[in-house]
Amino acid sequence: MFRIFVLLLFSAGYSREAYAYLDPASGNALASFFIAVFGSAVFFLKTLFYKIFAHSSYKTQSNKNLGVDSNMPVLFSEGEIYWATFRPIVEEFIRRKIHFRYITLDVHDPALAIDNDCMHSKRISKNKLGFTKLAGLEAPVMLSTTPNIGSEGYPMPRPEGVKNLVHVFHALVDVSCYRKGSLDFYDSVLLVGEHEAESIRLVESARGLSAKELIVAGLPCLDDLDRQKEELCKDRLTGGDALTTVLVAPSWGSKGCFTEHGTDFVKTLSRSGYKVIIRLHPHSFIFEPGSVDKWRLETQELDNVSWDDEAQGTIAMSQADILISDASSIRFDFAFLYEKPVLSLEIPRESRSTFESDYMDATWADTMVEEIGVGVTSENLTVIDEIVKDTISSFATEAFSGLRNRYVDNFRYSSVVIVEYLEHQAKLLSLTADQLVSRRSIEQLEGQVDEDRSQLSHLSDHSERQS
Amino acid sequence: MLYDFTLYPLESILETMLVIFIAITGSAFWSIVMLAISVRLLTKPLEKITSAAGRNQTQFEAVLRPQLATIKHEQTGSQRHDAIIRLYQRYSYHPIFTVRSLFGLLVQLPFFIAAYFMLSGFTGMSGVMIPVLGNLGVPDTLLFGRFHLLPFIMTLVNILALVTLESSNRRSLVQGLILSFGFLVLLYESPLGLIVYWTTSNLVSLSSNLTPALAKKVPIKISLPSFKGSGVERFFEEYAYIFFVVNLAILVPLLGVLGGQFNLFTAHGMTGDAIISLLFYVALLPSIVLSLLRRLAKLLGGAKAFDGLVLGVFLGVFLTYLFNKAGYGILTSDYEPAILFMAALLVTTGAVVIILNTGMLRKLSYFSLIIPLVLLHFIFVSPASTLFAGPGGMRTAIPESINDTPVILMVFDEFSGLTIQDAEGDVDVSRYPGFAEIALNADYFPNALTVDYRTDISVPSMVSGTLRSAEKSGLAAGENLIELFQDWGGGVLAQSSVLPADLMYDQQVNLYSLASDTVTLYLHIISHQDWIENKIGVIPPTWKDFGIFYEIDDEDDEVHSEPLYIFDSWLEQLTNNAADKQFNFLHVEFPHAPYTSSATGRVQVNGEVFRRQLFTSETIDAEQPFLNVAYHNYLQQSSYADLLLKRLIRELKETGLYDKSLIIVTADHGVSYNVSGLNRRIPLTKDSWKNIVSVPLMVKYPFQETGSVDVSFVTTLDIAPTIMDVAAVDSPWELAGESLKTLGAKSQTNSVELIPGFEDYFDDALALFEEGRSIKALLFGVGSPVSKVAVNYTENPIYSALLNTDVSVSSVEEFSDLHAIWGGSLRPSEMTQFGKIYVGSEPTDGKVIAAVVNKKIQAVFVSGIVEGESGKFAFSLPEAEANPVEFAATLYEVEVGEEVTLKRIEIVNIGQLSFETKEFIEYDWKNSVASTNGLDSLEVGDELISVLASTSDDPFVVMQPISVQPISTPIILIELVSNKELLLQLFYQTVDERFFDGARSKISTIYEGSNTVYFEIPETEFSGDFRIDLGFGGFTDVDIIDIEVRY
Repeated sequence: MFRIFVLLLFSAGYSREAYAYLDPASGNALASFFIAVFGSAVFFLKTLFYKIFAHSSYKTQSNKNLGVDSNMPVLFSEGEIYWATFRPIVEEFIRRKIHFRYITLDVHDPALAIDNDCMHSKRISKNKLGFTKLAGLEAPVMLSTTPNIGSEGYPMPRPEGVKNLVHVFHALVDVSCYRKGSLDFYDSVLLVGEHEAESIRLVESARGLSAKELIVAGLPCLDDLDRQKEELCKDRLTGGDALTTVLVAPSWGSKGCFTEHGTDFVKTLSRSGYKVIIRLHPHSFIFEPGSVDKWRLETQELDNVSWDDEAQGTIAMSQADILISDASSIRFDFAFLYEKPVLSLEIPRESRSTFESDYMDATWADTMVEEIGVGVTSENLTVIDEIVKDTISSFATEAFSGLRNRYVDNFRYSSVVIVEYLEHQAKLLSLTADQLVSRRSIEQLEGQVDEDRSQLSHLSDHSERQS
Repeated sequence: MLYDFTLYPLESILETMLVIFIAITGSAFWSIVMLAISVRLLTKPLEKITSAAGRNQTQFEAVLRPQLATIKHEQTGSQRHDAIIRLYQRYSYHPIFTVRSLFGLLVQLPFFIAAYFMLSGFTGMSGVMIPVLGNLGVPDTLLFGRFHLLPFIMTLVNILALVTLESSNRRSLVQGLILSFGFLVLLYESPLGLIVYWTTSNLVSLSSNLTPALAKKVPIKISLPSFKGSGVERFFEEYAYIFFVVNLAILVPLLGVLGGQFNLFTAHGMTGDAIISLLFYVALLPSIVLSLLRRLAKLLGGAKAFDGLVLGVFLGVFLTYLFNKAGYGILTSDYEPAILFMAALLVTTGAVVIILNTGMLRKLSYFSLIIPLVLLHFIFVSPASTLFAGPGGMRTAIPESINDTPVILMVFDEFSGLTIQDAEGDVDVSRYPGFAEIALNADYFPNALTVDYRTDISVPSMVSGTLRSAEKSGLAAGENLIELFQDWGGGVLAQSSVLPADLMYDQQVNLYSLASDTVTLYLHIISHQDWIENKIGVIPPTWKDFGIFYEIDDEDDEVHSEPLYIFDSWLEQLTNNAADKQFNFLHVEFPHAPYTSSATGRVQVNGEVFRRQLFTSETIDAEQPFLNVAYHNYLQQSSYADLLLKRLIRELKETGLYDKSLIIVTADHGVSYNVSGLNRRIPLTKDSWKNIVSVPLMVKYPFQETGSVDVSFVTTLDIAPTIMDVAAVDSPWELAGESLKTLGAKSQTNSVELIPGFEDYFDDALALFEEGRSIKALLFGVGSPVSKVAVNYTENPIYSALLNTDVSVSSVEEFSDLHAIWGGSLRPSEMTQFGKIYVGSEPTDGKVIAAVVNKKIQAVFVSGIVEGESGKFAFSLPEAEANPVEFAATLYEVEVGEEVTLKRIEIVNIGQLSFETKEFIEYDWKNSVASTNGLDSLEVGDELISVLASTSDDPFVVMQPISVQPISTPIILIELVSNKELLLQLFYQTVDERFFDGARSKISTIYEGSNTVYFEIPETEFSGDFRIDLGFGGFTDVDIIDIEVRY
C-alpha cells in the first residue's frame, strides 16, 4: 500500500496537470484514499494507545479468533433474506447463554449488528476466497438453510471439517420443491412436521443415498412471521379497507405464475374493482430482473394495483383478504397465520422436472391445494374475479388452525427444539473417540441408575403399599 | 525502461486512435472528441470491475455508519474502541478498505496520464484552427478576447456530472466540487485541445449518469443479437487465439522494426497498397491455415495437442524474440545466445502448461483484438506511415504559381565530395570528366556537406527541404518537392529506393527477392543479434537482395545491374518524355558498395572474405592496407559513376533540355576508408568525418554559361530552397535551408549547423578536407584516369617512386625467404587479389610487397591482420594491367636500405609450404561418408567419391572422424574435380565444441576443373566429424579424388 501511495505521489509530482483527466468519480476516490490512509493511521494509533495505556477488555485484531472455539455449533446464513429463519434460533442461543458461531455471506445481515458475548459472528465474502475459507471450516455441527451445499456446480463446497451438516427449511415446504440433489450432502434435516419424512426417504431410496437423521423440529421462520404479525397487530390495526384486497405472490423462475400465465389476470382483478398487491419472491429481483421490469410496466397503469417491496411480507399479508399464488410456500404462511383462503394457480408438471418432486406422484403441497383454498386452472383464469368473489364468500377457514397444528410441530417454539438439538450434537460430536466411549458408558450407567432408581421407587412404592 | 513498458504502449494506442480518427474525419477537433469518447467506452469494462469494489465499500459504509454512530453515542474510551473493533471483526472490515474506492482511479490513471502526455506532445494539434473556438494548440480567448471561456464550460460540465452522479452524497459532492474548481485553476491556461478532451470525457460521464433516468422515461428496448453464448463467441474463443499468438510471433516483431526502418519496402518498390496487401497476407494466411489444421486436429481428437504445439511454437518464438532483445549484451558471454534461448524455452514451457491447464486459452483469444491495432499503428502512426498515401488533412496547400523551368536532380549514393577533387580542391578533370564538364557552366560547391550519413534520412531530407530524423524518418508527407510538383501538375519522374514507391515511377516488385529478404530480416529480428550476424551477416544498408534464400546468379555478368538498370531506365524515361515532366529526380545507389564495377564499367567482383569484411559488417576488421584496397575499389566505381553523369549530360544536351533546365548533381553522403574498426559510413572520428560529410554539389541554373566555384559551406538541405527559388514558388512549408542562387558573400548557410559532427569537427573542416585530398593523392597519384592508376597502398612516399618501375630479370635474381600463397587465385575478374605471406610456415605481418605485372611494378602493399589472421595481403591492379585475360603477377619483397632491393617471393600453395613437413595420418576417406544433405546422389567408386547436386538446398557431405584422438593443427588436403566455380567450405569440430558452426569453418574457392585445396585447421584439439559444403545453387558435379590429412 505504501508503494502505491509513493507511486501516486510521484505521478502527482511528475505532472500536476495529469489530474486534469480525472473524472468526478475518480476525484472522489482520490479524496477517499487520503481519508482512508489517515483514518487507518488514527485507528492504528488508537489501538496502540489503548493496548499500552488502558486496560482493554478485548484483544486487538491480531487475536481475532480468540473466543471462537471450533467445538461451537455454527449457524450458516446466506444473508438477510433468511434472517426470519435464523432470528428465533439466534435469540434462543443467546437466551440460554450458549456460545455459538454465526457465519453469513451478506454485509446486510441483521445478525452482524448483534454484539453479544455468546454470539461469534463473522461475515465472509461471497466469492471464491470466501467459499475456500468456508470449505476449511471446522465444527461439530452446522445449521444451514441453503440447499445445494456441496452439489456440483454450486460454488460452496461442503466443509469437510463439519461433522453434522443440518438443514432447516426456510418455508413451509418439503424436499419436493428443491432441485434434485439439493440435500444430498446434508447429514440431518430438521422437519417441519412428521409428514415431511416420507418425501425425503423417497428421494433417498430413488437415488440410493444413505439415510439422513430426521428430527421433527417445526419451522422457525413461520414462528418469526407469527411474531412479526403479532408485533404489527400491536403497532396498528390493519385491514378495514373498503375494497377487497387480493395479494398476488408468484414464485420465481419457471415455477412462477407470472412466468406461466402472465399478468393478464391482474388486469381482470383490477377491472373488477379489487385492490391488488403484487409481491414477488425476493429471488425474482436477482435472477429475472428483466421479467420484473416487464411485469411492472404491464401493471403500472392499472387502477388499485400496488407493488410490495418490503423485505418481509407481513404487512402485505395482513392487508390481504385472499392470496393468489402458484406453488409458492407463502400460501401456507398466509393460510396458517392469517387463516384466510388461497387460490393456487396451476403450474404444469413439466416445469418441475428438475425438482425432487419428479420422484413423487403427488406432493404434500399438491394435496393441500383444496384444503387451504381453491385450485385454479389456466382456463379459469379469465374468470378469476368470479372465483375470488366466490372463495371469499363461501370458503370455510375455520379448520386452518387445526391444519397448522397437524402439519407444523412446535409452533412458536421450534427454536427451543432446534437449539437443544444443536447443543447436544455439538457436545456429542466434539468428543474424542475415547471421550465418546466414556460418554456412552456414562450414559449407560445413567440409564442403569435411572432404571435402578425406578426399580427402587417401584420397590419402595410396593413396600409402602405393603406396609 | 519503466516508461517503455507502462505508459508508452498506452500513449501509442491513444495516438494511433487519434491519427486514425484524423484520417477518417479530417478534423483534429472531432478526432479529439472521438478519442475521449472511445477511451471512456473502452475503459468501461474496467470501470465496471473497479466500480464494483467501490460499491462494495459504499455498502459497508451504509451498514456500518449508523452502528458506529450508536457506539460513539453510547460508549466512551476504551470500551468504545473495543466495541468498534468487535464491530469491524464481525463484518470482516478494516478502515483501510476505504481505498477500495480508489481501484477505479488506479485503473484509469494510466489512461489519463497517457492521454495527457500524448495530446501535449501531439504536433498535429498546434495551429489547427477550429471555427469559433480558435487554435487547438493554445488556450481560447473567447471571453472578452482575453480570457478563456472553455475552462469554465468544462467546469460546468464537470459539476453537472457530479450532481447527476447516482451514488452521489453530500460528502462526495463537496469533494467533487473542490476538485472541479481545482481543475479549473490547473487547466485554465491549457491548450484548447486538452480542454476539449477533458470536457468530452466529462460529457460522457454526464450522459451515462443521465441514461438510466432517461431510459425509464423513454421505454425503448433495443434487442441486439447477443454475442455472449452464441456460436460466434464459441468459434471466436476457440480459434482467435491462433490469430493472436501467430501474429505476436510474426507481425509484432516485424512491424516493430519495419515501423521505424521501412527501407525494405521502398527498396523493393512497394506502394502503400502493396505493403498493406502484404501485411494482410502475413497477418491472415498463417492463422487461416492453422485454423483449418486445428479443425482437422479437432476432428481427429487432437485439438489440445494441437493447441499446445501452436502455443509452444509461436509463444516460444515471441518469447525468444523478447529475451533476445531484452537480454542482449547483459551476459557478454559466448553462451549468451544459448542461455537466452534456454530461458525463453523454459518460460514458454511454463506458460504453455499454465495456459492449457487453466483454460486461459479462450481468454487469450480476446487479445487477438490487439493485432489490428498493431497494424493500424504501423499504417497510421509509425514513421512508416509516410509510405501510405497521405494521412488526410495533413497536406499543405498547392502553391499559387510555379514557372515551367525543368528541374533535374541527380543524387548519387555514398560518394564523397573529396573524391572528385584533385589535390588543390578543384574538380579532378582526368578522373571525373563528367563532373568537370558540368562544372564548365555550373556553380561548383567543393565544400558541400550532407545533413545525415544515413541514406534513408539524407535523401528524404533533401527532397523535403527539412531535416528528417530517425524518429521522423521518411519523406515529410505533403511537404516535399515530389508532391509539390505533382500537385501543381508539373509532372514528376522520380526514383529512389528510400522514398515511398507510390511517388516513384518504378513500382516493380521482385516477389522472390522480397520474400527471401523479409524472411531473412525476420530471422534477424527474432534472433540474438551477434549470433545471427555471425550466421548470415548483417542487413545491408541497401535493404535489398540480402535474403538467404535469394541468390544472385553467378553466371550473370551483370552483377551490378540493379542501380545501373535504374539509371538507364530513368534516363530513358527522361529523354523519351523530355517535355513532359518538370521535376526529374533520381537517387541511384551508385557508387555505393559492394564494388562490382571497374572505372570503365567492366564487371568485377571482390573475393568472398574481402566482401564480407568490408561491406557486410558494421565494423571493419582489417588493417589500413586492406582499407586502401577498398578505397581503390570505390575509386574505380565512382569513376564509373562519373561516366553515368557524362551520359546524362550528353542525353540532356541532345534533347535540348540541358540549357533550359536547372540541373543539380549531388550525393546523399560520402564514404571513408581512412580508419579501420568502424563502419565506412559513420562519421565518428575526425579521420572518417571529412570524407563522409563531404558531398559533390553542382548547380547549373537555366541558361547558365560560365561555371564558378563557390567555397561557401552549404548543405544538401539548401537544394530544395534553390529549386523553389528557380521555379519561382513560395514554399508552402518552412524550409530548413536557403537558396544557393542568392547566397551572395555568405561563407556558410544556416543548415550547416545541422550536419553530423558539426560541434566536434567543423572548425577544422578546411584542414581536414585538405588532409583527405592529400592522402588520396599519396595513395593513387594524380593526373591519370583511375582506370590507369598505379597504386601505392603503403602511404609511404618512398614506395611511390617504385610504381611503374621496370623490373629487369637480372636485378632480382635473389629469392626472398618469404613465401606467398594466393587466398583464392589471381584472376582478372577479381577486383582485389589477396593472399598470405609466410616466413617458413608462419604468417608474417608488416612485409612490404610489390606486385609486378608485365615487368612493371603495379602495386606496393604491406601484409597485415584481417579478421584476426596475420600475414594477409591485398592489392588491386590498374585496370589496364588487369584487363588481359592472360596475365601473370609476380610478387617481390621490397627492402629499403641504402638502395631499394627487390627479392622474388616464391608463390606456393600451402601444400608445398608445410603439408609435406607434417606427419601423415591414415584415413580411409572413401569409406568415411557419415551423412549427406541436399544431394541428388553420392557414389563411392574405387578411386573417387562422386557427388551430384542440382538444387540449392545446402549440399554437403559429412565425413566421419579422422582419428579417435584429438589432432593438433592438422592440414586437410582435398583434391577434386568440379564442373564449375564454387565456394567450398570445410566445417570442423573440436573436443569442446561438438557441432558445426560458421566460426569453425574454412572457405576456399574452387574453379572449374581440377583443384587441390589445403585447409589449415587452427585448432589444437581437432576432433569428430568434419563437413564439406559445396556452395549453393545450380547444378553441381564434384568428384572428390583425394582427402589427405597431416598434422
